[in-house]
Amino acid sequence: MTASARIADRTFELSVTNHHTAVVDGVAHEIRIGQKHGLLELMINGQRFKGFVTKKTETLFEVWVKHYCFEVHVEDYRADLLRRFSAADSKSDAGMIVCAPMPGLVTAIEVAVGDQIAVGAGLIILEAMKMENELRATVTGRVRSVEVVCNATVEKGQRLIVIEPDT
Amino acid sequence: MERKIRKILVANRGEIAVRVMRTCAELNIETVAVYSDPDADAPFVRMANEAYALEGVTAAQTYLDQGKILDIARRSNAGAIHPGYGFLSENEDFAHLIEKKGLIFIGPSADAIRKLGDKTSARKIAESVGVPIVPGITDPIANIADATRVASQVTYPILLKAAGGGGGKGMRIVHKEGDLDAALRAAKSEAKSAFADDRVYLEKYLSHPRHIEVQVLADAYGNIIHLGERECSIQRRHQKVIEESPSVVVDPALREQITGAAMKICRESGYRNAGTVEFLLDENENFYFLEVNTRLQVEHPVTEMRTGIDIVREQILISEGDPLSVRQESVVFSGHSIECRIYAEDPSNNFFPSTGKIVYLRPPSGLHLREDRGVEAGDEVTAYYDPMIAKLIAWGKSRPEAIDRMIRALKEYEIFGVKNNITLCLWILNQPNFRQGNFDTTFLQNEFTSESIPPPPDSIQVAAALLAALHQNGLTSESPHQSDGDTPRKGWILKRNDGLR
Repeated sequence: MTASARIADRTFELSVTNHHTAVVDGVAHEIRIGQKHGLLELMINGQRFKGFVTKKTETLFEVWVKHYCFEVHVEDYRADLLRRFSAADSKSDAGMIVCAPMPGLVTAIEVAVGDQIAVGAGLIILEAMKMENELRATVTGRVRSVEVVCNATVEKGQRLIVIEPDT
Repeated sequence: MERKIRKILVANRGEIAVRVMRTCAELNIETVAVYSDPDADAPFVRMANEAYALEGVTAAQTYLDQGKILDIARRSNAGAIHPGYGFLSENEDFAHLIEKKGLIFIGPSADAIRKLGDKTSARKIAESVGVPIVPGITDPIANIADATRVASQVTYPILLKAAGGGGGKGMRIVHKEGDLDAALRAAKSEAKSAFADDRVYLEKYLSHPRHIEVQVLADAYGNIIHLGERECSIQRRHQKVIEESPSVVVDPALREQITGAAMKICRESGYRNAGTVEFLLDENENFYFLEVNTRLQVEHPVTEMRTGIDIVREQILISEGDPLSVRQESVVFSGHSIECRIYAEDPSNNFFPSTGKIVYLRPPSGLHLREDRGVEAGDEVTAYYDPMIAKLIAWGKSRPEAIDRMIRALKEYEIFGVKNNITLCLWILNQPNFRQGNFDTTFLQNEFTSESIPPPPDSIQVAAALLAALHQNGLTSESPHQSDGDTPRKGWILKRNDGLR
């Protein structure tokens, strides 16, 4: 197995060469992997790490280790190549999509389609866990669509608003 | 001994329901749980002797529905109701209704809740016994014109607060007149959903106060004692995160004054049961009365760890008509205790609440440590209720010892599946200013940013990268298959995979 794994802006080049050796960025480590109570246990040079891995997409994994939750992008070289070929024509019409960061109740919509907004402008108030949370714009641009109504209950990840960023 | 109360309905959920039921079990009192649909399988439901569905999801449909709760009290033949904190705990109508039905409300009388739980009338009482109060309005705000007038009198910044409850709900700091209208509307709507009461009042916002509160116990015979102070200055959006006792800034003379003021307010209002009187302390050690919480507080274990007194037990005995089991002079204050609230929220992403399933949870244990928790591995953290996962309380002979013990315990704590604030708590406890006692309620707001938490050590990042890559390649599933004649140790098996080279 040879792969590159990216966590935020760091990339680790990994290769697992036999059953108990992993090479990470050119350095060989002795590893063991097992399972206990539904968790993975990875031993690296005698240090033990308990972890829990959820597959989000083919290449994106959520990994819990110690007090941290990582989003790890894993690509083997074949997938990486494929992605580079297909990337050229896929990013035309995206817009900035604002999704619900948690399930909740939309208690106010502060913008309308066509509004020109600046970074930090309030977009939507989402009530969850008895607190009102204001979602704010992270880009300057124009509101292209509003896809929820006031008093709607939304799920985590649901599309709320699309912003056309100024270029 | 024949008990007056034989069965208690706990009108609450989560860790506080569990905590109350534990004391009931020790007193040989039976317990009744009431639960919402999402809580049907929660630990407190399983712990109770009997459990009844409230049938509904939101707080308003369930834990705030007085009719449903009283109906279950009748059906289950419970003689008393413990309200815990939040929900109906400071609702005078609820207490009154319970009294009227001939049941026992484990808390103060409806009359005392009305006088003290209502923050505006509490301010008047404090004033009447000579306890200083924060400048502001003593009546709820009638309209925006009213608010604008008072705000300009006391001068900005001002603080809007819910008259009907605490915990940071319905609270807004306003720095200038232009923001007042929006803030007032937000505060009212939040107060309404949290306490079914949208009255909001206004006071001067002190810029660098410390939050000091006094735990009080009072019986039906006029005996009032205090169990010392707690300092709760480490707050985020007015929500307490870390509490401790004693406070590093309260010396014996100030303690005498502040505990005396707390007891004076309770005596004046005819208070009975456990209560907490909150104060703000300014840079010059002037203290101002803030409010009375006429209920058990989230952070009460801090006091229990230091005094050895079970506050819930005292609440029950007081409600049964017993005199206080301890005198002021026999309360022994020992060492230092500190509590961290473990919330399901992500400190590196603007504290956004994190919901989902707790896939794994392993709490710490060991000497002088207590953990109060209402969820287990496999349970969901939902958006319907408070995001608190657990409270961790550590005791030490000294403050540094208690802090070091807490750091150890937090490092031991493992929670997977729901993001939490353990890294934040560790960051706070390691700050030189925190350790030196040099902080106030603005500490987190001024000193903490999303970037404050140090990045995970390299070894942990490497482990995460490897786990993800091994998972993607199907190399992590357990299999007895052995390949190369090596004898792997039990539990440490790497599955052979064709992709391996």
